[in-house]
Amino acid sequence: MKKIFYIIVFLLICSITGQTQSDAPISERKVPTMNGHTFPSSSHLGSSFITTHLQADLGFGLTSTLKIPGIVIDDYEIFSFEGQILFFSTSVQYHQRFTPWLSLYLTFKMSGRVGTDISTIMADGVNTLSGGDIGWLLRITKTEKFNLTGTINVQNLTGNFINVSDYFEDIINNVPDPSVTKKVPAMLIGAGIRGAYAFNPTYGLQFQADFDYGETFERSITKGYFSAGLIGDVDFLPKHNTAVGLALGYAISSAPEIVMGEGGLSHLITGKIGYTGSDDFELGVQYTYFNVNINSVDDKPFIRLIKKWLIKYQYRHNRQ
Amino acid sequence: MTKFTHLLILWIFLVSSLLVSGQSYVGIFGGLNSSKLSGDAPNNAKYKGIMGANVGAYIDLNLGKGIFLSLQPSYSQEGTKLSYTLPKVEEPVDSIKIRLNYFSLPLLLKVTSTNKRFYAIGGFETGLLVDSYVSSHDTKEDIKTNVAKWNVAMHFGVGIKIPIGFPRLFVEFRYSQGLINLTDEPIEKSYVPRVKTAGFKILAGIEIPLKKTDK
Repeated sequence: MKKIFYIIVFLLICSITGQTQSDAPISERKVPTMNGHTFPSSSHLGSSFITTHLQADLGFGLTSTLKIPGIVIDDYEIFSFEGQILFFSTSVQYHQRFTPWLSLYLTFKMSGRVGTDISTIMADGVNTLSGGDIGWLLRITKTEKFNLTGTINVQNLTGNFINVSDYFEDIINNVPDPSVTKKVPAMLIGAGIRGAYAFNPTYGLQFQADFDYGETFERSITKGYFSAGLIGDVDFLPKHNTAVGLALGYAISSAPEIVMGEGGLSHLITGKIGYTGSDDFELGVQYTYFNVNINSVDDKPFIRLIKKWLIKYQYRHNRQ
Repeated sequence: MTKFTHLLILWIFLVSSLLVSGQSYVGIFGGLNSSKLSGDAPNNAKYKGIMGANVGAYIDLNLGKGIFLSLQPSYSQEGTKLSYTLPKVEEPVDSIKIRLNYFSLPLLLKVTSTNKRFYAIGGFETGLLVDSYVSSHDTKEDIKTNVAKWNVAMHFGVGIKIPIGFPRLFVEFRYSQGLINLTDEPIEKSYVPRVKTAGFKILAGIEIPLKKTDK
């Protein structure tokens, strides 16, 4: 029964992808273009363009060397560690455009962090976050140079935390039913705005601001999450006939997939180089430098994230 | 006049003005829910999907430019399976079924695509719990945990319309995510601790336009 259910769903989605856009005139370019400028994608800033596309990205990174404090007994510190923590993240997003002003999007994402050796695994554990979101992208206004859209979405996330040191702490503090693993679900509802401005065919600017409200990874606590950022880019294709684009951006975020269970604000600086020569797809490498709170260490370490193999495939759609 | 009467008059006025202004539709639908509870699961257990029925009727009021306000009173069977991990058994065992039956009133927006065959649908649903039970190996009993009487969920969906003369058939796929906790019990004390509803729906139905046009 379940198989039939999923087959029907699959066929329905395939038929929408195949037919909604087939009986109208096709656009000159499939990639998001305005005032002759092609806008690049970024993994921390969503696109403001209502298109049908599939985007996948994959990233990994390392912290600088961290000193994890131990216990001080008679001026001697025991159980202190030094090491690095590995971060990884991956996501796949699909946008389905229905009208020139409305699209539905789905995202599946997973991110996590783990120590690079036994000592940091013992101290910081293994932390993963998985889930996804579903939402609407609605156009607010569009002119020759400016595009502004709004988003409404629901996120469903599950945090899995394996922490040996917390387990021993719970045993010492007589916490009932101590467990090495913790699985905490969180549901968030959010809204935001996304925009893009094309100065000329070479230069463009994109921005985003989001607010989500819902559960945190500490049970019984609800709170708001905020993220905002902007990214400027230059495309060398129109003037220099070189299919390379560069982008530089800044974002501030308390989103759970970035800060995970610890909370707080992260500052993200992003640089990206991408291929801009294709009408069908976009390919790029993004480098992000950001800081996060990690409870097991004193400092707020910076993470060099070799983000991301970012691949985006555009489906043909009507002229906007 | 009571506040309810005021609201009812306002509602009738709004509906009738929308009915007059453009082509609206009425219809019936039925389909399957693949629902489960999402949230904290009891120790050594996980939630799995359970199939249920969803039947109802609806009216689509034209707001203009391919946008419709859709009212869909319906009966919806939701719930979950609880799959327990037992010692010395490799696979988890589906031992408990929890059924939550709602009378629901989704208030949704439907937006048709440029070719008018496909549509996107989304909005909010308010559900009143009419019946609930837990069953295990042919025994059925009431749920002892205090389950919230009302549920609020958000819907996201897509559909296709198939004209068959004057009426139209449709097939629709929806994802529904509950927004409020149905229970707020500690994990160790309940088989449904802090949970929300979540699930997919596949619906099919028939609709007729309220006005006859030349097309």
